[in-house]
Amino acid sequence: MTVGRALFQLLVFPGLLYAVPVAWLMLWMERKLTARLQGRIGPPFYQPFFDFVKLLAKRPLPRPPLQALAMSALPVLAVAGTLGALALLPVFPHSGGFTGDLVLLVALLEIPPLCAVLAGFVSRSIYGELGATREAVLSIAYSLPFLAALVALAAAANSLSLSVISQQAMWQVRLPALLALALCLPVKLRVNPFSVANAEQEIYAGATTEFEGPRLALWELAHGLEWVALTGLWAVLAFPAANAAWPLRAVVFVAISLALVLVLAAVAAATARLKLAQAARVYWLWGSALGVLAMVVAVVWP
Amino acid sequence: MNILGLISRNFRRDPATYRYPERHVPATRFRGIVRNDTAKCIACGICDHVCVSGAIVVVGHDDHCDWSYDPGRCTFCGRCVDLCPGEALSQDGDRAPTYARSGDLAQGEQITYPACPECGLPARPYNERLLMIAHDDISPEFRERIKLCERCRRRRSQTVLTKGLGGAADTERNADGA
Amino acid sequence: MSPVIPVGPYHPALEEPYKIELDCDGEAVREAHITVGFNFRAIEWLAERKNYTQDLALVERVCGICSNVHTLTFSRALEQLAGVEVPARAQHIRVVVHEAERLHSHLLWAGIAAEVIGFQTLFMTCFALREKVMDLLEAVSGNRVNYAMNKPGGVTRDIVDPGMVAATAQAIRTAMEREIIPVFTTDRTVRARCAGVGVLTRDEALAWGALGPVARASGLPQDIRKAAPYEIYDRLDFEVPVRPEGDVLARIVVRALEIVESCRIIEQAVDGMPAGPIDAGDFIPVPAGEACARIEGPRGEVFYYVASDGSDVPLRVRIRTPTFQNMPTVALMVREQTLADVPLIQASIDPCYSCTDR
Repeated sequence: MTVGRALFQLLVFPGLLYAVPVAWLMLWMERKLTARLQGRIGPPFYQPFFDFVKLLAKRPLPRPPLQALAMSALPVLAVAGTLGALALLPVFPHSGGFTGDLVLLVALLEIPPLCAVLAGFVSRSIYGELGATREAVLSIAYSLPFLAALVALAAAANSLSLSVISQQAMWQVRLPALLALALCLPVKLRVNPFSVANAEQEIYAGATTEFEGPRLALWELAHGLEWVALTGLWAVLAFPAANAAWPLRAVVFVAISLALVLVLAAVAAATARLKLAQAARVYWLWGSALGVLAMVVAVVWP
Repeated sequence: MNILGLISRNFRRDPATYRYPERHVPATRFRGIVRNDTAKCIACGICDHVCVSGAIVVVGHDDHCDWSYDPGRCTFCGRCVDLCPGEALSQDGDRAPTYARSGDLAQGEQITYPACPECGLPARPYNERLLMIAHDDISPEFRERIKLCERCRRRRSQTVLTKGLGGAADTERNADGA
Repeated sequence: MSPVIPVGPYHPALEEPYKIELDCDGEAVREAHITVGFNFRAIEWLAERKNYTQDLALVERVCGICSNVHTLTFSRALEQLAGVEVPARAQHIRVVVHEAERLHSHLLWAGIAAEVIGFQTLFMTCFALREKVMDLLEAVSGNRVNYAMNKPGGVTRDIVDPGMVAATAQAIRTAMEREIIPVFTTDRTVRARCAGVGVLTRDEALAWGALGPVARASGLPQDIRKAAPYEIYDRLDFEVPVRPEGDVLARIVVRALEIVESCRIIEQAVDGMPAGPIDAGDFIPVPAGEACARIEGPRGEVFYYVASDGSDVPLRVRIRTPTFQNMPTVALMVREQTLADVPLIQASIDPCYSCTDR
């Protein structure tokens, strides 16, 4: 992978230039579809962008220097980590990636939840702490199926390179792995029925309760980018056609990502929020079952 | 119907919400802002008496009465309208317009007391409807007397009374008064 | 983690300011302490300084949701004092508005219950249906929240279009039976959140003096409409739904069935509405004496005591609202439950703290 290629992926596609507008688009699509399913009009498409600008324009609260530093650095780190993960997505498999980028991707995707946990504790709010605790408990619960699915894919493709995995993993492994990953998406994106870590009626906004103005704007951006990265990862893994021309690949990648957003929004609109123990149980039980199934198939299948 | 049926129905239907500044059209007998028809108002002050929130304040003066109303304080209970003896008060059939500052919609009416045809001093306003309730048949003489101020009316009554008694007391009183 | 978690006085799950302090052990609640008094507006004090007509509008503002209950109970107390008979048509109209208010209160509550378990769609569905009831009340009374329908000796407004009222009640009943009740009772995520949560046993409900739907969901068949019928309730055919389970789901079911019953009552009351006057005069003179009145509000028994010295200003007005009785049971119910259940359990008694604080 050349430097120019890496820069293009980080800054243009599927990185910054693509991801930020699409993040806002996805946030809007989620809100709009939820509204329509609830019989409301819903916001206009520029609403997430306006929300972002409005939050940016607000004056941050004065805080003790160390806390202020931590509370500003954590959302920046979350944004940077997600952008890095996005840059690794092998939308055009023949022209990028390196062996072991799967490990880097997993590590980068874990940065936003980790930052959120830290943010919850650093903000010194009881609700932030509760949110952070819930986030931590959930991340332990969903990490098992999430990692198991990725490991199964890697084992099936016999490679740690994302582009190889996306091309060569067998469908017998890919199917349960994709299901396990899809099951992890709502909890990673904190939407119903697994919106436990940011359960408004219980603990306000959870870990980000004490964040305000530009700091909150960055969290919102990080959240939007997580949508792009996670749906993008799923889209890349779900569409292996190696021979397709690059415009087709790009279009299919975007289409699958957006369709996934709609599905997640519809599921969120049709469910109530589960409790922490119930949500964790779903992942330990069903998530792990799918992950383990994928692993077993990957190892046993000739 | 389960939740999937519910959301798919919602999706097919038009949204139930409005985009500002579109508004829900109120029912035909909506209780809106109170209006005072000064032509019918007799400045009795019952509206002030029954108003719990002090939205209506009636202050009497020598030659007029100030009737003021602040919709921002109004509870729209409609008791003033129900109990208004002259049917001078009514309520708008539409919602109050949006307003920015407290007291923006406040209205003040002045009910001027008509001048007494005899002495020229202010007399109490009267209302045709109330007259009809009190007296089925109104003689021209009575109609003339109702326009007078209280003093002149009393004097007129006295005159009529004393005439009936036969003049003596009348001259006596006039002599006293002089 | 800090041992005490405050919920309130301002919290997304609370409709009104009050405070529950939770002694927590991780996510598990050990002990709960309730503080009220944030909504104190001295309504009883004010009532002793204003005349009866003004008091009518004043007591209507005790509660933003069950406003009609307060004017109705107050009017009934004054009618007792004055010995005034309410015309039959007025009694029918009173029952229609009273039940329509129960409808919108229960629907609002169902929406809040859905909201606190994060079920936004169900919340919107309940509120969309409630909007129909609000439109009905607006068409009947001209107001959406404080209807100002009752006065001593009758009602202030006539129902001009009884057919519309009956049709709306029927439409609400159908929507309730087809859409909302099935989702609340069969949806898996709703059941997972509500079944077996916040149990109040029959004996506890009896010992703690629970009222209204809370008592009825714990197996106590108590309802003033049946026990001491007022207006025309002795002539109406309706059921009082009772469930033995005592959990949040039972409270949801009891209220949902009550909505259906209320629709039936409205249909009957409109159907048998006789012609005639709607009040017994503009001003009812209140002689010296004292009177009590109680009726079944949406949340349970509402009690009024009025003492008069014969002037147009009452000597004493005492208001006791159902939440005052139901509120202590929350501390009992949240014990040993998880933190996530607290908003739902406190909402399940349909608390109205502005009523309680007055």
